[in-house]
Amino acid sequence: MKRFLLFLPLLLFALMVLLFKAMLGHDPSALDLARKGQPFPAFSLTELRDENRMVTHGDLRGQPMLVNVWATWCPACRTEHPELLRIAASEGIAVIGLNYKDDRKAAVAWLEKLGDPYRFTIFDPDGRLGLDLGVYGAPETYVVDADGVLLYRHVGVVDQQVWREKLQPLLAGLDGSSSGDRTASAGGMSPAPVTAGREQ
Amino acid sequence: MNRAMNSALPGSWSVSLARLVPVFLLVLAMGARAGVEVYDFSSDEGYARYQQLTFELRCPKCQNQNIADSNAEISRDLRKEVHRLIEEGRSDREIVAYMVERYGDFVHYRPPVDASTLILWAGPVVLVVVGVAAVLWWGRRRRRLQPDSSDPLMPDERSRLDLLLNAGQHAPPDAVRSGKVAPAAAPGDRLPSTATSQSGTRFGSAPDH
Repeated sequence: MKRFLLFLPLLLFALMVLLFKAMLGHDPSALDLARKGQPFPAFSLTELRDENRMVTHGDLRGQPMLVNVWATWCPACRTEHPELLRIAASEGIAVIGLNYKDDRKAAVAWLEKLGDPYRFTIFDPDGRLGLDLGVYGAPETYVVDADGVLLYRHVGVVDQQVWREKLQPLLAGLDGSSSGDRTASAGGMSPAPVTAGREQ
Repeated sequence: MNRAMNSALPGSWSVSLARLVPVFLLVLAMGARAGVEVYDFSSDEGYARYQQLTFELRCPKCQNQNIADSNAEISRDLRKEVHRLIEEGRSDREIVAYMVERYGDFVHYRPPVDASTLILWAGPVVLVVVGVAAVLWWGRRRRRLQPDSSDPLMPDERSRLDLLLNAGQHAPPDAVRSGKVAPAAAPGDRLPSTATSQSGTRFGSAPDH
């Protein structure tokens, strides 16, 4: 018993090391996606470049995609822009823009200048859709599956590492695999909305 | 430099500048007012509920501020939303549910009891119970091991004290009298060095027994 006590500090230290290691990549300010496993919230808004064209949640279907929340007032959005361009061009993933609480002219000018990675961009000047999604700061990037179900949210800049470690594995699990694999890769989400309408 | 410029101004200039001061103040005041949102409530009760709700809802961006206190853009939006929902006639419970649906349990300062928050709710109670149990156990053990209640010392403490006292008796008398507990710590002693080191060693090793 006495001998065991001698090892107690070492054991405590080992436990602390494990705990620190587990929390090392953890960002306490990143909130979990409240609507995880639920369909993308319903909306009907104009397209950024074409104000006569309406886009809705029905347009976010048919294939897995990324929905990127951005604005011209957001410096970090500029940082991640080249990576979004790369993902859209060379990874074959559809990236949809959600222009959040922004000015239409400024946003279009931004895309003209920096390049446009988006299939289309939802224009949400009042932040209503952002509120329904639970956006609390740009940039945020959502992973939506082919049935329009929200699977994951990344808060902050999307860079090579985020793509490689978080987004790509998740999206790879969605492409051409059985629904069983898909729920596994989505990590603990409820399987009900995913299996529905899978045979297409 | 400044002086030269001032003197270069015609007299009428400085007069009109002085007249403009109220205008400047007015512009400043308008700027200050723009930072505060003004909401009209159809009832005093709605206003009271707004105050209560914005006090209880937590700003998702700033970790530890409620949305009433926070100047973050998102808090402004949520305050606006709370106002809108109150005016729509939604109940407090519905408004909180609305926010939780979008931002998760984080948005409310009173988390619900479930598997992930159990440690928050039960932790303090468990700690108090464990602490009280430990104190009781210690006290009982002490009473059991200490048959003679007139002696404030435990048996092992008593034997250790005896040992220390015996060690003190072997120490040089003048060192003990002068208040130096450890005779080895008195370098000025004219005693033979062997005696000093011997008693010192004995004293030092005593607590280990």
